Amino acid sequence: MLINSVVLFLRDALPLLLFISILSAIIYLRTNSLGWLVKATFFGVLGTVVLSAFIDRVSEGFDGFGFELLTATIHIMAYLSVLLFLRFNSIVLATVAVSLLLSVHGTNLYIYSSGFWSSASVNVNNALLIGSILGFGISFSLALLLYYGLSASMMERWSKLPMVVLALTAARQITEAVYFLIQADWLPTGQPLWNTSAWLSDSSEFGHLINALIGYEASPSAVQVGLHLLALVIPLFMIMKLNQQPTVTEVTP
Amino acid sequence: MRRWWLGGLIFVPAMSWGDREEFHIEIRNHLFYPAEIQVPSNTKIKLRITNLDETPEEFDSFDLNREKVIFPKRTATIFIGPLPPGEYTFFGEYNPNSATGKVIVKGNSNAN
Repeated sequence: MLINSVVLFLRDALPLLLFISILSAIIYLRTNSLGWLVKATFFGVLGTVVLSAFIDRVSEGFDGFGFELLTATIHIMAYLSVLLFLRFNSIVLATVAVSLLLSVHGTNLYIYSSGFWSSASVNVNNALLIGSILGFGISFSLALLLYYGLSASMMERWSKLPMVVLALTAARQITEAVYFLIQADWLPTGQPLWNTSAWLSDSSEFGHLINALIGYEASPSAVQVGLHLLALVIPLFMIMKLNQQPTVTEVTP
Repeated sequence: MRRWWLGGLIFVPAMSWGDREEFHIEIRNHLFYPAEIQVPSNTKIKLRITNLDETPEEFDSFDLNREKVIFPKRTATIFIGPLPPGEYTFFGEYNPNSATGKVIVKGNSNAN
């Protein structure tokens, strides 16, 4: 149970916190403000409460695939928000992206936590609590490391590195959406192009980290690889195209 | 023209759902019934899981690359396959020690 709850937090809190840390590093060095993050957290928590209240009914929609289709839509919207953020440099779009992802990951954490806690006996509740704290601690520490690493890189000659990492994380949103669309049979499954499970398993700690950052899959299908590459090439092309120092405009959402 | 295209997007997957062979599993007292199901090889099948408990459960399988929350008193659907013959384990994420099962894929290994 301890390991399960650690993995649970790594699976949902880690991608969200890494995404936030990348955007924070980019925006903070330009505006000296993290006020947008407070707004994004507010709207994200609000979204979590609303989604959590209706998710069981939503999940039965579309022949039992309501949850997959809603989650895929939110990930696609987050990806589009990042593309528009890269294009227009508006903090509002960063706020929208984080709010959307916080809503979906927050709802997942709520479902998992309520499922674990309601199923668990009194004896294992302590293990769950410790596991949750450990999982959150690991995720938060890694996000903090990434934040300071990217912040430092922006002051050196690697100033475009945070944008490239943001593009990698944005492409991950499409990988997530594709996963849910395949599960709902809206996209073809296909045979895996390769299988690197023996080298780096999806369920390993490092596998979770790489998945959270760039959407690593040990045995992806052609559809997954193709759409991931497409989703990665678009923001990278935009970064190359906008090869001047952009200025972020502070707009209240 | 645009409406037709959008309609196609919505209805093509819906039409394909109806073609799949269906299998049913129930969750009772944090256990899967039946705990083993046999499915044909190299065929995509539709697995419907009904959770009769008062708490949510997550159907999870590393072998099948599927994870899906099934809310209390609700039914969820998962598509699996096409798979080569073999045994593919699954478990309930919230009760991993008791809620376990496997999908046994039978048939020849040639693709359809």
